[in-house]
Amino acid sequence: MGFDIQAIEGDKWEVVLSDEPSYIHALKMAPEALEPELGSGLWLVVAFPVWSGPVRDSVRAAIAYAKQYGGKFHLGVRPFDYHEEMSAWWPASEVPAGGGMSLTVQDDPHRREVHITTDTSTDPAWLVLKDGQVVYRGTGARSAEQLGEMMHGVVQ
Amino acid sequence: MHIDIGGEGRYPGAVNVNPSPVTSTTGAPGRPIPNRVAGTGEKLPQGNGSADLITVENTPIRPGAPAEIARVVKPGGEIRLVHPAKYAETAHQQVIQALPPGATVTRTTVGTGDTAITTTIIKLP
Repeated sequence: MGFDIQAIEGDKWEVVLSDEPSYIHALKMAPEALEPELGSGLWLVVAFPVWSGPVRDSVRAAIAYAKQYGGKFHLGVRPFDYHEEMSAWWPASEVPAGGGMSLTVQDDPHRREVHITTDTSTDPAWLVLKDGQVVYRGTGARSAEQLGEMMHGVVQ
Repeated sequence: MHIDIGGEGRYPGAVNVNPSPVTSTTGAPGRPIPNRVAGTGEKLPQGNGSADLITVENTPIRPGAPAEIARVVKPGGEIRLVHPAKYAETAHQQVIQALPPGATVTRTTVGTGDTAITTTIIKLP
């Protein structure tokens, strides 16, 4: 039981589930669009960065929470590397690109360099879809109790 | 000097190189990061051979970061990398390959499956 990631071609990763029930799904990294199957039924999607250990606590909490409900909703587990990957599939205008932005300007006599970077304080990203409609979207660590609050009124 | 790439203050006295001015996972989120220098692993603001110790923990190792780490660490210095085990298999190797030959590498993995965390300690000659 459990999950892990494994490297596939290039710098891509995939989630590998071990003996998890069929309502828990390994979703593709950086798809070109939200998968059609997520447009039907009730889905909780968690997207997590492959390079963070602590954020996996939230993924484990989501798997445990899904098992409590025994298939009353689908759980999709999606890895990502860069937050920018989410712009292709995140079904809302505001993509969770990080919790803050930093602007650094470096001047020298011949050129000015401007660096705009985002931080990673908003991992993982959460999405609840009911028949393709966004019921909830949010970011940050969640315990099983907090997932219950998030799904309250959605899952029967 | 100890440089913590992506650090938020977990190591007292370390210079925390972080694009964000506030904490996300260390202590209470949203607090100012102490001793912070704006930057990323791909473009460290420190000079050549200036760091005795560089740490990268649960922060991405992007293309370009291994070369920057190799540039900034002192001869005789140490690099400590901590990541989920599968990620570490490739990312830590990229850092090792960017370093001059002769480094001593110690790798330890604790946990299994999704809880497995690998710590790689590299000591330069």
